[in-house]
Amino acid sequence: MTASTEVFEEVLVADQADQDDRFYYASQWSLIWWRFRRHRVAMVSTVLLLLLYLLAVLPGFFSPYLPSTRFESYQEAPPVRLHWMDKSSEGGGFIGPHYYGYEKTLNKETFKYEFEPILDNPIRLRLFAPGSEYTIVGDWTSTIHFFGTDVEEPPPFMLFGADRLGRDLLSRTLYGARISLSIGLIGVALSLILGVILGGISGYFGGLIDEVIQRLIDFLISIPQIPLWMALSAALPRDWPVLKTYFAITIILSILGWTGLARVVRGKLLSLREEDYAMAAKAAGTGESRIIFKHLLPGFTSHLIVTVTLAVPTMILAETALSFLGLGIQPPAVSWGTLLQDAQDIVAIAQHPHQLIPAAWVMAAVLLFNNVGDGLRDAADPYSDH
Amino acid sequence: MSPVLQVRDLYLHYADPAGTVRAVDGVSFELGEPGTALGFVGESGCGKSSAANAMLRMLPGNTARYDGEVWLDGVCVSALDAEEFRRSVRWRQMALVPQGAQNSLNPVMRVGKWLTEPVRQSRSADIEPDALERQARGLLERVGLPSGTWNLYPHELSGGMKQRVMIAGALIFSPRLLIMDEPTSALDVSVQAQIMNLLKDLKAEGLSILFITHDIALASDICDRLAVVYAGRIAEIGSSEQILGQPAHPYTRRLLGSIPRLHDEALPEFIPGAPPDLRKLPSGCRFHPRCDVPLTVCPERVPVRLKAESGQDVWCWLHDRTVNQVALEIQDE
Repeated sequence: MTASTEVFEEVLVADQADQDDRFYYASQWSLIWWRFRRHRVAMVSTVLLLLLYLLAVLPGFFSPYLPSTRFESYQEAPPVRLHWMDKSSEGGGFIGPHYYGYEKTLNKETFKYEFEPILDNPIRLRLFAPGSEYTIVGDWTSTIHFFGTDVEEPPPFMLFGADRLGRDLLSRTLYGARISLSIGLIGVALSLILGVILGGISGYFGGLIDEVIQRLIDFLISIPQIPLWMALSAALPRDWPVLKTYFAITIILSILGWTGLARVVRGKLLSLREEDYAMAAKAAGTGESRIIFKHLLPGFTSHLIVTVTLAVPTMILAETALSFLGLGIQPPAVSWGTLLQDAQDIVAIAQHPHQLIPAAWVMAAVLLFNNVGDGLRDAADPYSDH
Repeated sequence: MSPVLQVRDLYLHYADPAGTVRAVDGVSFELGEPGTALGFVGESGCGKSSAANAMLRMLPGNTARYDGEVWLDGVCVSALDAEEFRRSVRWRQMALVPQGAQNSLNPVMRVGKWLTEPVRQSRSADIEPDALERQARGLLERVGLPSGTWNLYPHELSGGMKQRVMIAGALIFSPRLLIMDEPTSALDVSVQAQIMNLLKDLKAEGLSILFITHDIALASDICDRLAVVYAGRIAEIGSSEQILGQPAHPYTRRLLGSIPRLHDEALPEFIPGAPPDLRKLPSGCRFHPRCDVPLTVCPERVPVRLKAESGQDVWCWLHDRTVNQVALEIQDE
């Protein structure tokens, strides 16, 4: 025996010494990471997505105002422009980032308020300026904002304009991101748990259990989504606190979301359970659930990650749709969907197109997730060119 | 002392749209003292692997009939309920190295994790991770693998190394019986020899082996006794010398005759006809349509276990005195 041991050892040492063979000894995850890194669109999207989540985690810091702060005379004010060059009469030249306050006039012909910047009074912006107090987490509060001004009693700097109650749309969009972006993750996590367990049971055991679960999925898919969501969320009591409503909505979204994942898991398990190593695990006295979740599931984790990444935007869109219809998150809580309620009216959009800015954020988040998912799919596919 | 393994009237039938597949149809045998090996030889598709699965109660979804008794060290393990059987018998007392060991290692588990997984999953005893690792590494060494194998994935191993890992894995609980299902079918001759030597060493240490193969030469190398299987039933069982030297069943004789020999003018004889479809088995003795010395009783009555020699039993009417008597009388007339 010892002679053959030495031979094997030599072969191993010789191979591992060869640095060019790094590729052949790399783990599955290193290979995926190397391929993903070369996918430029996906890499950029990942960075942007992380930034987006950073904004969503710290909305108080990045937004200049609280989402509930009202500026009475600035109702539906258009976005304030950010300037770098001084526009005032005596000025000119570079004075750094600044903006100008609005003068509000009533147009006597159209009977509409018009906002004109007052160009002789530049208000300079700086980073990490003090402002209104906000909560970071729990009792931990701060007054430092990402940007602001030192001027006393400045006119509001509303980069995305104001809504019909005169609240800053940028602040509201950032606070809305907290709910809209997290509901996607939590909802998908819930569907993942449901999908993996039910799909796993369905695919591994087959037979009657499989039939029952598959017909249940068929049934759930056959129900028109929007009416079902509407019915379920209409059943939620209006007087529930925001957090409770939030989790209820998440659960409602995942009730339909798990079906697709369960089908993926089932299909994979149907083929994997026939593998010799599944049989070997069974012969080793392994219990059924352990075979499914410890022996077979790791064989397509990468596949699952891709599916999950591509499922997140669907969840985000679903929450937006529900809230847009007034059935999801209820004001005063803000999500991108509730913000878009202001844009339901064609006249509002025609006159104040900036109300659609939250929609652009929804689109950005969905596109970024899809790009990342595409990149992951290409990277996780062992047959793609490396 | 009770035998290590005793199997009585084992049946495993599969349901199939075209009829019941009688893969294991009343198989009885025993594996005597510890440290002996019994060979299960027969053509492909005669139910050898099904018999192994039936012993371990690894039944597919379309099982139509499953019964029989499996006694291990005087304990009837087939009487245990399924959960108890899984926990206390599989891998712990009877370990199976399945057919296609090449693919039986989980591709996403490192060797070390795969080896120790059956122990870790049995939460019954509190296991010291260090002691477990020492034991498993010791097993790797025992089967002749370098310690570096511990951190490798199956795709980084050669066929022979994978087979060794499988054997090491099967030994983790120090089982009484090792069932090897075609252990060397995908290996070249030199690796095959290494594996066979390893098995011989293990056998010398007191491990009992049930060796399933279609290769009689290989089986005779390691097995003390051989069982020749034909169409879901044992045709003949006896010591290796008896089976190879004085086969009592016509099937065994033809099987041995079909092995090519060096410098032999006579061509290897093949057995006329094809192995029977396990769904449409011939009546009486299943070998009678292909037999060269059929008797009138053969298509009519299923042969019973008859003694050919001391320690050699055969399921063939040729060895029944009364039947022979009748046959001779008919010939005389």
